[in-house]
Amino acid sequence: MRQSFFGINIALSGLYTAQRNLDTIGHNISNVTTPGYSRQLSVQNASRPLAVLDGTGMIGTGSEVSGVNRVRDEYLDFKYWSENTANGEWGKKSELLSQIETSFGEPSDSGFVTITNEFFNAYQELAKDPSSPAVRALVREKGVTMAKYFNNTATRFEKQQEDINDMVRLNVDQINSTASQIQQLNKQIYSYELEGNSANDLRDSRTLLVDNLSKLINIQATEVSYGKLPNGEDDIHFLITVSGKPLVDHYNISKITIQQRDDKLNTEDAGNLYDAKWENGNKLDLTGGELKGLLDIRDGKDGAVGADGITGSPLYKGIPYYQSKLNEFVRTFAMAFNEGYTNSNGTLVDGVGHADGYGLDPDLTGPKTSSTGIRFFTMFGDGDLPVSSSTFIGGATSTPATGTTPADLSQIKARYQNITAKNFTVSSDVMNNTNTISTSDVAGENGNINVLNKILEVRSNQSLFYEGAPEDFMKSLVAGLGIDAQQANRFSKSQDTIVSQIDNRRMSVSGVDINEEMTNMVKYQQAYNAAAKMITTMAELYDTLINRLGVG
Amino acid sequence: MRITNNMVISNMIKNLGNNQARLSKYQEQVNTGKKISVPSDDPVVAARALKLRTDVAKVEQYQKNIGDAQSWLDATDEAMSKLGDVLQRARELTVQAANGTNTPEETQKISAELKQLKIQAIHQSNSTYAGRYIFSGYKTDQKVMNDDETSANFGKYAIDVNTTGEKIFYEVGVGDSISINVTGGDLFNLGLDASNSSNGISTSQIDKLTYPYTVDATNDAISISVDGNPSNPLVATIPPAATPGGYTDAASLAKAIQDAVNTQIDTINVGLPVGSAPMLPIEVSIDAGHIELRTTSKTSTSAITITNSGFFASVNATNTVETTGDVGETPSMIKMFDDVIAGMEKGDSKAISNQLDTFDEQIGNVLRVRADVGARQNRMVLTEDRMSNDLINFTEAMSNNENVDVAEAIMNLKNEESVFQASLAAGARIIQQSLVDFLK
Repeated sequence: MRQSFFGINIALSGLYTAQRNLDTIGHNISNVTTPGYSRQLSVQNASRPLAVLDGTGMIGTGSEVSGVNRVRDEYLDFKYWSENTANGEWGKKSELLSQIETSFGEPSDSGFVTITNEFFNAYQELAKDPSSPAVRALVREKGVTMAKYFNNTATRFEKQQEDINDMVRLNVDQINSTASQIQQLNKQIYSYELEGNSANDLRDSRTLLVDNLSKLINIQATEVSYGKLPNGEDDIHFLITVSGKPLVDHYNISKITIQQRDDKLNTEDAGNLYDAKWENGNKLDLTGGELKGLLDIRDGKDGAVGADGITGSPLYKGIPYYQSKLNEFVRTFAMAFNEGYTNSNGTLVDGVGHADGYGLDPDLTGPKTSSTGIRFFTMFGDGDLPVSSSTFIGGATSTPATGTTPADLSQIKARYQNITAKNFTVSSDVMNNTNTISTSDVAGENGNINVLNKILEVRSNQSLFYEGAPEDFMKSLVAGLGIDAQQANRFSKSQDTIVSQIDNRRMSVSGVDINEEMTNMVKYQQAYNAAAKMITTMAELYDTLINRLGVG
Repeated sequence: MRITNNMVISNMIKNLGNNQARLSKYQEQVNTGKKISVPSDDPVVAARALKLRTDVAKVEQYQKNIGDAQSWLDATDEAMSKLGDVLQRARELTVQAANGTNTPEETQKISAELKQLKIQAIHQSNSTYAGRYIFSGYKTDQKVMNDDETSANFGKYAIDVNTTGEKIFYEVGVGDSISINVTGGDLFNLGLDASNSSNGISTSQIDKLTYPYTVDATNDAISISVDGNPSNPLVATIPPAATPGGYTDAASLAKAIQDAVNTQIDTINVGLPVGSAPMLPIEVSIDAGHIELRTTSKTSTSAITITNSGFFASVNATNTVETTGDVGETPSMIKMFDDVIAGMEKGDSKAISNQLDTFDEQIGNVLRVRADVGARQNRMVLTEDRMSNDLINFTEAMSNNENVDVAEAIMNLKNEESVFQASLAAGARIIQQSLVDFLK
């Protein structure tokens, strides 16, 4: 014997089911633009049937919604995270290298090549008229312009290094705050899911945080099962590691800290740069992410051993590398120009340089005004004023004649190690009196340009640098930078494409499609209408049964 | 594959971004006319661009140098041409004067004209180019000959010029230098050097010098001051003579004094601060009634002043300082004029005609130098030609390397523009339509 109002209950479950489905659709539609949102599907099934014993088998009791699932392909998430790490690294490198490129200002009409050309051309003019004060002043100004190019470039590099240092700090803060948000979400998700439900929206938020984190630092995120819970479910913990060390382990978190270095890593570095370490003082191994990109550019000196003689710099050509190259250039160039020292099969050889010559003797008052021992280029000293030749060379043998001992040469060479691209300048002697610019190899011979011609040879001295003449050195430096930047741009671009392809696939699986939702909406609306119609029909049945069936 | 709304939107944004990036790249190419703006656009082009810029800058400077070298050589040639005319006229006059039938008056007239020609030749030696003396070797701010007609040294060399050493070179190509000057000695001294003896002479009258001359504590001190030197007065001690009884002759005494003073100068030089010029040694000579000290410095104000004590007091020296030395040798060309003029004044027609050979020699020498300068001018013309070819080649290479083909860049730009517009239009269609639009 069936219950009297059984039919109306079945219809009612249909109404409920349709409504629950419409709710899910509504949730999907309102989250169509939510970042990281995965579409949800109601799990609908027929409710438990009634077994009747009159031989007609089981009777259906309507429908029910047993849960709401999120549609997600976890494999795509893993893929996304690992590719996004490389994307972050190369994106940063590409961005920072293009800043370095801008600092060099080549190729242009105001870069190193143009400035050097103008300097040497002014020297050529001096060769033609060594007694002209106007041309002497021109040479000095062009010399100052050249020195300023190096000062500006080096200062810009230093500023950039400090900027990157601030970015490192922000980056680490971001990593830590993301990690603690993930830790909070872990707690919520774990306690909610203990009951066997799925915390769909919380999981979406967590995946989105991991997405962000994977761009900052190389992470590995997995759900690890730690045995069974009393209710028989797996005990799942969420674990994020960086190079094998846990950053977030379920409810626990290990932060990354930054601390100012006591000693510089590279001699060229700005002071007080940050080191990123684990909270417990362990070394942080980085294999990717924006943080690695930042540190490689900030510290990279092509793997050269740092200032302490032990620690190696990152194997990448970053700011310290370019600073050291500029320093190498100004030191070698100034030494060749001032002293006439050149390399011959790796040995320093003394030749004729600026210090070996005599300047202009305007009134021929005798050897008093001659300029032997004057260096054209020195460096900024106290109070940012150019130092004089004698101060600069102070103590070392003043003008070693050709064939001086290697000891004398290395003594002088050591003085030039004090010059950097940042403090490189024209000596105070030349700044104060252009007559000290030497051209002649005999005092008082104002038309003699023997020394000047020797100095001009510096320009085309192919053995001055490993790369060749001065201009070849800068050319290969700029070309090398161009190649590195091009590589970073390409990697960044291709990595970006890969990441967006994976993201596309994720969106294909998890994204909300309005057309689909609309179709379903119509579908469930119809189902709702049909269930309602069913109730009406039932109502009519009862009307007939109760009101029209003549009883008495 | 399931296509969702967000996919469509993000793909569209990405593609529009790519289109825009390409659009802006071509826009920049059209705006700047350059293929690249940073080295990473194309490192090879960037490296080559730097190299070619240097090449072009060098060639442009070489062209300037060639122009200046040519002007200098032209000025030299001009001066020598005038000098040649002077010599030619002088030779004609000499031939005329060698004729023994001239009256003394006629010879006088010829001699007067010759004197004027000599003056002209001397002034010609101090020809300038852009304010610099062209025959003075490295000392382009000093006259090669004394051209002060009132001076006793008129027509003598005022400075030393080393004919083989003092060549001024201009760089007119990579590793290609040319000497652009002619030295005074080459032209006026038959290819020899121009030379000027020391300046800064101090001559002293001496009364009481008898040989053998014995030095002891009363008379062995030499005290002198030298202008422009850091340590004044300088005190040296004459060592005792090697021969018993004292110095036997003037030469050995002079040498002993010179050595003693120069040893002292060396000692002073060792102690000089960095950068200051060393003191130059002095020369000493003694004859019957004089002792002469001269610095080897070539500056006219350097003079030696003796202090009347020790040695100088013992020989009763009276000091005369001559600071305006500048007593140079007479160039052979000027000497020839002098000889001819002297011959005329004596009326010695034999001596005059003897000089005709010398004239031929001098004229031949001037022609030799002119031919040399002519050859150099010729070389400059060729080098100039080569440089202008180089400039065209390098500029073209530079342009090929880094300049865009404007037509191509504009075509690319237009193409990208239409692609961009098409994708915007397509995007607008895709985005606006969904089932919502059709449900009632």
